[in-house]
Amino acid sequence: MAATLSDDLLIQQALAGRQSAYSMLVKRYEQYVFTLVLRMVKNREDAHEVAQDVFLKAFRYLKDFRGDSKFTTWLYKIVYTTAVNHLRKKTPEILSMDDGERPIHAAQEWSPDASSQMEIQDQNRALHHAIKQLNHDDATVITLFYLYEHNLDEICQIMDLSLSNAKTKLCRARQRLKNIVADQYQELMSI
Amino acid sequence: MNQPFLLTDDLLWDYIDGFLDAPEQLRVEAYLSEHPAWQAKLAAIKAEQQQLMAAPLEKPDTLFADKVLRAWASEQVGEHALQSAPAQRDWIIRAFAIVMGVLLTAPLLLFVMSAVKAKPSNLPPISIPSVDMGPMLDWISLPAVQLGMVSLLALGFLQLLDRYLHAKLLLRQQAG
Repeated sequence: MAATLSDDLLIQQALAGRQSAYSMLVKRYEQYVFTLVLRMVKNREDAHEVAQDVFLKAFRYLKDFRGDSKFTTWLYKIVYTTAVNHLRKKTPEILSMDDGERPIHAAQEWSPDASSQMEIQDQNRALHHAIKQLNHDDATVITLFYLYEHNLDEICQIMDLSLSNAKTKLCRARQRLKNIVADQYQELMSI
Repeated sequence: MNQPFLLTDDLLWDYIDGFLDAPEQLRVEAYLSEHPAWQAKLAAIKAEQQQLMAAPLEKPDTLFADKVLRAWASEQVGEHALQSAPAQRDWIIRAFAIVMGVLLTAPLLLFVMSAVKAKPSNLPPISIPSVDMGPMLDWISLPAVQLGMVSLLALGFLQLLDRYLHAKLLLRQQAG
């Protein structure tokens, strides 16, 4: 029953002081928030800390959410800024890494035509490790676009980018991911 | 003269990701229908896209949600304390200020009055009702009273320090 409650209703209830609404919001989005944070900060321990921080900030500023965008867009913007701030404090050099300047090798397609559950798991693991090697912006844009199915306009809002910039970032991120997979996980991915 | 249409990997990705407008889409589809090699590429890229979309979500520790909710609850308690504490502490500080004010100004006033009384003057004497201030001044100079005054000052200082540290802690929690 609880799963059918809309985000808007849960937000209203939370703002009215109902603790169970906060609980439902956390349970509904914990995996999405945690996955995105983990893909950015690359470390489970830090990801727990940042993800908790994200929820606390979201609850603190919930009254400011006006519904102009989707709740997830608003929430992922908090995820992005909180994780970037965390990275900035922890490893400033990560943020100075510019887009684009990693070598691009001849790309090969990988085929996910897996014939068993174990193969799919291996491929997911390989994909997870490949995404871990992307910089935080690449990992974010890939996750938001493909896994969370946010469109480019929403990604622009979350990451504070122009439309053309977001599209370029997505293309480059995809290319880099493909290169990592081709270089390191070719056996697992092309079956 | 029309340029010959040339399909690229990027354009194919844009096609799959839905970034192309209708005429561009039609051009890509026409090209694909004539080039089986690109059809195979399309299938591979679609599979790649599916894999990205179907990647499993990461699960945080089982107690993660509980920890978040506990932290939120304690933050709310802290905010409540911040809102209610000043009124309570202000009352203590006001009472302290009143007591201190009385204790400090009364002897001063009495001292000034006794000095005025003692000073010789050419002016005709004004009849001021005489008050015996000796016992009062003696009382102020008692060590126990002075100790009490110092204790009150210390208490007031500690109250202010406590209030400052408490507010600072809450602000840090909110900022963090």
